[in-house]
Amino acid sequence: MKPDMSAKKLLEVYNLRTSFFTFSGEVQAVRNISFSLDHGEIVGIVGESGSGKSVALLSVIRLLHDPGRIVGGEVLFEGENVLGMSNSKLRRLRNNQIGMVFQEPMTSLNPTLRVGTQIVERIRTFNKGFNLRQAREQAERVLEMVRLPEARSHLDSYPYELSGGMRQRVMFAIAIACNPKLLIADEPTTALDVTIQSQILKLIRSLRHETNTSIILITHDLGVVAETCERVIVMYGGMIMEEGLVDEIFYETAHQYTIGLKRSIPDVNNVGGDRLFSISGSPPSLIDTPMGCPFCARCEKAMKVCLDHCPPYFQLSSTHRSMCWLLDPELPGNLPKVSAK
Amino acid sequence: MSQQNFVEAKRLKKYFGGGGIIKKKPFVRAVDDISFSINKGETFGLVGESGCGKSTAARTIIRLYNPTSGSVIFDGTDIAKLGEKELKPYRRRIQMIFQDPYASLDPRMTVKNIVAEPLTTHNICARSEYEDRVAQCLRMVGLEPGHMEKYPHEFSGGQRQRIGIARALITQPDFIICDEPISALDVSIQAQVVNMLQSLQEQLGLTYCFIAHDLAMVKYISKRMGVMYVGQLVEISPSDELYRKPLHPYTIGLMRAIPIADPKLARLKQEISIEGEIPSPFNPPSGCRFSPRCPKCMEICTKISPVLKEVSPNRFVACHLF
Repeated sequence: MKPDMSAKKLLEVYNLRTSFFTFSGEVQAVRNISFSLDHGEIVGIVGESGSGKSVALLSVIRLLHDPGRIVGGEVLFEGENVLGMSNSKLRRLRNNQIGMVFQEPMTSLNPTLRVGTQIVERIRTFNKGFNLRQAREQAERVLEMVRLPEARSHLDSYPYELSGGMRQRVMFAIAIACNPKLLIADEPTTALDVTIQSQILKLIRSLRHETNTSIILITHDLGVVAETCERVIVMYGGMIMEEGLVDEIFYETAHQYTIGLKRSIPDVNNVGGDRLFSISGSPPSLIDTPMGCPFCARCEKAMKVCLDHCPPYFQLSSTHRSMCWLLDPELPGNLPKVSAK
Repeated sequence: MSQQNFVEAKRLKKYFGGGGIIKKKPFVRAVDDISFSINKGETFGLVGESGCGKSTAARTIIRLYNPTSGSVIFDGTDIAKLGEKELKPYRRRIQMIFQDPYASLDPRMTVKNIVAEPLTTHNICARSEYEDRVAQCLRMVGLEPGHMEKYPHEFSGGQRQRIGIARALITQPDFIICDEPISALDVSIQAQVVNMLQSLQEQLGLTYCFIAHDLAMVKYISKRMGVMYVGQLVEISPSDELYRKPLHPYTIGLMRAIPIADPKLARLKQEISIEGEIPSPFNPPSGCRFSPRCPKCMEICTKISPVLKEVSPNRFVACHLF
């Protein structure tokens, strides 16, 4: 990852807000998030279920369905405004530039079509010049890239004939069939066993090296993030709580929620005895969103200000920011080493 | 206080299928000859990947499935051979907590009815006492008795799992099988439920069999654990030692595969993962079932199936290397 100031960022998201308009009211799933992504970078988005991580990415590529709607903000893909794009242009963007892998490979593959047909379909929509034979050859190549054993014979398999890990490889094959610049993987290993999970994570890392694709990995597993990502975004209650390089998030943790998450994981090396740390309570409702910090109801160190005012981002380094009042330089005892953005 | 071999499975087998009128269908050897024991007041962890037979093993132990062969000794009695009627008093003493808190609660029953149902089934007390007992159980799992008239959909995943635990506790069991009780929950909620299960164990002297695929969590909650692979136990060991020095090549691979939530350690980790897929229990490989994926496979491994043997005090491994 070379910081090249002249090059455009691959993806920029500014103040994105997405809501679901339901009978019980407006569910503010994503509230004002901004982040960006460089070429060839692997970024992890972590959060619990309902934190808005999937909805945020679905909004970015405009795959939301009713009653979900993007309420505000801006999404730029290589400088082009995605939210204002016409349908045909959007379709070209999704076809040529972005690949997506979903959590449950069985429900995302068509059970009635052979694996080869599904990959060929993607290749031929992208590259109209390919005839069937060329497309099949290309399909075989991508299956080899995702290291599916006996790629050629599996072109004629149906999804039900494959195991979970193999199906997920096929999903990756479809996603990378057209050399996308951005690959979004939404909990790609959650439904898989650990030994298969480690194979898939290895695949993700090698894909990035071979193709220089930028990857956004959505997960709830901090272990997966630590092993795979360079940068981490921590989401909670529809907002970004903390963002930083993976080492900053793990070793210079600056948000109480991230600290809680880290402490809830049992330490394998620790010789038992103590109680596990647990964050009490449960995530906030996104219909009556709390006025202050979304985490304050569960935070051990919550102050009065946290209840009423949502904290701004405090910039801890050029890459590390966190949304927590405890970092306010005006807080007694805090050295004025950080500056509010 | 501690009673040895409170629950004991001996050469337990559970095969599915095999029926068919014209052509005999193949067996699925879901659980193939496993033996282990659990002491009173202890938590025994059972880990393995999906399809390895850990849930089937647990369900066979509590006779939700009838074993194909083998025996299950519970508190001195072989419950594998008891008839339904003789079994009933034992059912009361053995309870189960299920994985999916959304599927294991009837959406059309109130919490009170869900939790009180075992009281009716086992005829434990008069109907007038139900409310008190349910309230007491709900308090034990950290829920308000005021929630009694609500329906499951009004609760979050973690709260529903607590309702499931209250239902298991109401018969005052000795032994509870926890079948992946936390894998459907978020990380911050998992820790709450695990802590609660541990406090309950201390208060009530419960014995747990804790099934999960999250090895770190199993290590955390259990003193001893067994590792299963395609229907067989490959290693039984005290949890600490298993983590410090796994012996079976499968256990070693499984440990390496767990993502470490520590980027510096993760970078040091060697890029070795178990290749290949889990074999089908329809047609398991001959000899050792792990042999096709094993990095240390020898000639004998493909021919003779290794048996579980004690290689050091309390450590059992089924591998020809030992």
